[in-house]
Amino acid sequence: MRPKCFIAVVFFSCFTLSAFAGDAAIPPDLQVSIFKKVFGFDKAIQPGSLKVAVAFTDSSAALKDQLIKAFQDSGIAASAVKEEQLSTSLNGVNVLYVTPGVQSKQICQKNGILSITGTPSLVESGEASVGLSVLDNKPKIIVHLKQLKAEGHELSANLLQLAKLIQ
Amino acid sequence: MRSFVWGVLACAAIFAATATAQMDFQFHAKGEIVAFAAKDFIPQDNGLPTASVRLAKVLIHNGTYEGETSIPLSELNRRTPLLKMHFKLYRGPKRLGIFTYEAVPEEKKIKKGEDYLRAIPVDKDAAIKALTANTTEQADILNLLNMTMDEATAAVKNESKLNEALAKAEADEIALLQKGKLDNKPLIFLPVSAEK
Repeated sequence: MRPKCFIAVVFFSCFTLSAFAGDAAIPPDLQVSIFKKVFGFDKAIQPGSLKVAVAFTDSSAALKDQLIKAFQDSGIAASAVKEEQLSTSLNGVNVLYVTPGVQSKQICQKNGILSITGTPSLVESGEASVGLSVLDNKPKIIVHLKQLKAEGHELSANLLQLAKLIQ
Repeated sequence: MRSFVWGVLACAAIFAATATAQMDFQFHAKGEIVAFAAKDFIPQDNGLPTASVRLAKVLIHNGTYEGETSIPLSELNRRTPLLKMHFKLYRGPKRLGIFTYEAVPEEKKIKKGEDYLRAIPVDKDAAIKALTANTTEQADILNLLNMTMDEATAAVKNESKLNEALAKAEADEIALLQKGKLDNKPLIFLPVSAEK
């Protein structure tokens, strides 16, 4: 019985790891650099009006700090907003970085805020509209078209042709 | 010094991109020049995008862009025997956009077997406008997406250094222009073969 349990645990661990492999993290600096370029293709974001907020939970507080620093280092105004405060703290924000565990879909749609993330599964589930993943050891942009439209944003075809699109 | 040169070249690249893509800026030079414009981007096997370019004669009067005309094939062949219709795009250190350089005027003697492009002066406003030009942005992001994670991470770090050099080059260049030292003079001559 014990060997069977051991094998089951090993199998489960392997399965779990492989499931998370698709969410391999892209370094915050690289994420910000790519997102910064993506913003230039968003017709709803006027140059000079960019204001980013990072939505986080207790479990993603460390990631939030790295992202805030990366955004600020690249010259983008960024603030941190805890999930519970999302409904009251997004004044003037037009881009929301969504970390794992944050539910912000409705708020982004209601306020016309572009949701971005470094967690590809959040884009695949429609929780965020633009994300980054790693494909063949290269960064890849993922766009959830329906969510993007619901948030009132539109990316130019020049960018969409470079991205993985989710209908 | 090297970073300054790269910075100046980057300025020239984005400036010339603006020249043909937006056509709403002022040149410091006068008369006619021949400029390249990025026309299309084609992914290549080696991962680097390639720009299909067009050449046009740009008309300048009193420092203001007035329009452009196409160049007859015979003249094109005579002026630019070595300019291929496709150029590699470069960004960052050793990845600088060369598709936007101005060709050296005919009167400039070119050594046999060598071809040159001329970097033209740039002002701050034109550089800022060019930074929002879709052509440049698409090339930028395509470059980044074609890199491996390690390369992309390193490129982002290098880019910040390049931007610092670019800002310094712009400031130096503007200072020189204000002194009138660079009017109608090429800033630098770059062997095309070295950049391919």
